[in-house]
Amino acid sequence: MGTVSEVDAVNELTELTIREAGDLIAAGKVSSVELTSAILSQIDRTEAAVFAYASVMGEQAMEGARRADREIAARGGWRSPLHGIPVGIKDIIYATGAPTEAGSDVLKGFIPEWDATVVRRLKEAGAIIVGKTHTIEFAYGQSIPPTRNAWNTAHAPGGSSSGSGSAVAVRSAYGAIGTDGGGSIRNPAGFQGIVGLKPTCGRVSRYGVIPMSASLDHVGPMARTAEDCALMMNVIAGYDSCDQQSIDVPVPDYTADLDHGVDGLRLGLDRDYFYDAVNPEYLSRVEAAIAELENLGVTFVEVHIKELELVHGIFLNVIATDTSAYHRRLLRAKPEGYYPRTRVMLEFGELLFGTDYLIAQRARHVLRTAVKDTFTKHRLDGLIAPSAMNTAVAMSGEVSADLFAQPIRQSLANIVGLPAMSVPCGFANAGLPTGFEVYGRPFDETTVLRIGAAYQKVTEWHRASPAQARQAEASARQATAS
Amino acid sequence: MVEITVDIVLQMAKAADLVIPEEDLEEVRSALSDYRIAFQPVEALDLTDVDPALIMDPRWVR
Repeated sequence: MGTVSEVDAVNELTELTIREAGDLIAAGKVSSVELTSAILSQIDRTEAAVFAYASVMGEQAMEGARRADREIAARGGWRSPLHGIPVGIKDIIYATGAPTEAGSDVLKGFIPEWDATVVRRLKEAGAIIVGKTHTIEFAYGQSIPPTRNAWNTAHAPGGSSSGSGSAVAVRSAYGAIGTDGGGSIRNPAGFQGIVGLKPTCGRVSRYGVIPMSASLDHVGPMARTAEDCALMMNVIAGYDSCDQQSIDVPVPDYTADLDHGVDGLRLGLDRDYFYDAVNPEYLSRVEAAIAELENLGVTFVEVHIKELELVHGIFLNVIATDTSAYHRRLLRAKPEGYYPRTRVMLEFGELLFGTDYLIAQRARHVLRTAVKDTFTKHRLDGLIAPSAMNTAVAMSGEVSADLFAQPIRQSLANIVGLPAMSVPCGFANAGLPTGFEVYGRPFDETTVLRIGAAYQKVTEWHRASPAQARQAEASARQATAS
Repeated sequence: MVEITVDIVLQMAKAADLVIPEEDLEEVRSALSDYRIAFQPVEALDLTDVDPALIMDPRWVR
């Protein structure tokens, strides 16, 4: 721990968004070494409480920062708004120089010899990889990573991109990469008051990502603002022939429309599906966000998509079958290496019938058509929903025994491949973050990001920090005591 | 709907050449039961005219 002034200086730097930090770097007002040092100091200060990182790549990050500063100082050496910016990578994504263990003893000590496409693209843009962030085992299991919620360490971080969510929230990374097979970017983003974008299926390469489900997995950005996610998308999006699911469509500038506002956009609300049984306090925050967007010119349309009742069954079948297929050999070779509940899920997936899998895949067409028809009929630009049914649960050390009893509503976006993004919209239940989620048209991340940016322009939720919250809480306690 | 029992789980696992530890059996049984309920609306669909999502691309491009 440094002096008070040193700590203040670190705080000042770590509170910057990617856009702000990138602008300062480009203007020569701050160096990558300063930003990276600040982030590493913040990691030192916060890790004992939040456990966001599976491994920290301190020396490599500082070496990269020095190189970035030399490049930026050289004429024409500035590569992108991410040049010199420290980011975290979920520990299910290959990155050279550090272990990729996917939160599992099965992969203990495995160090990849090559970078995943998303990591390579970040490095080419000049980003500094500061460490690997914790994940739930293989992004699938029921293991409990050591990670804690940045806003209240007695509460869960959300998953499976748990560490990426906590690192961004606690300011120990400006941005992070997560993966999302059924809400795993958006869930921790919602629980930790940050923005998390699951792009359209095929938009961001998954090459070098340990797979869960080939047709449900997505890679995407997590950051404090929609604008920062747009900046990250400008770097990571694009066709990759190494990823069978990658789709070759032009990549727009995701920041181009961010200032265009949302006047005239139309968003659908399916209250029967997304809003049922949501905690009332949580729901009130989402309703307030909807009112805010309405003030900005969004038209809301009540819709009912009957086929959403298919989401749960399709998701369970596809994710369990795909993941068990990937782990088939490992499960037989190293069954003791898995966390027990992960092992149960893998065993369960092996017992599903091939005919069910084919039926589920065909039902995806039915669901996709129903969603498409609803968008067309009501001329929708998107759907809006709560990011979760409640704020983050308290960590009890145990998880529900009913592994598959509750539908994962967010998995709609994975099943039909739509882009979806969680945006922070306030706090409920004693200071825990809430969020709303926007589902967009395929490859229309631009509109989804625009909605998030417009909302964040008129709200300050993304400026709130866990440190400020703790200070306020301490002050309140002190006032009560005196 | 057939009630999923631990015996059924054991038989299915045997057919899959999978050894499920004793301590996992009840949870696997419970997961299968939950799954069967969740899958009912999917099974009820008429999918006669719906092609599978899995498309074989015969081109030698990758």
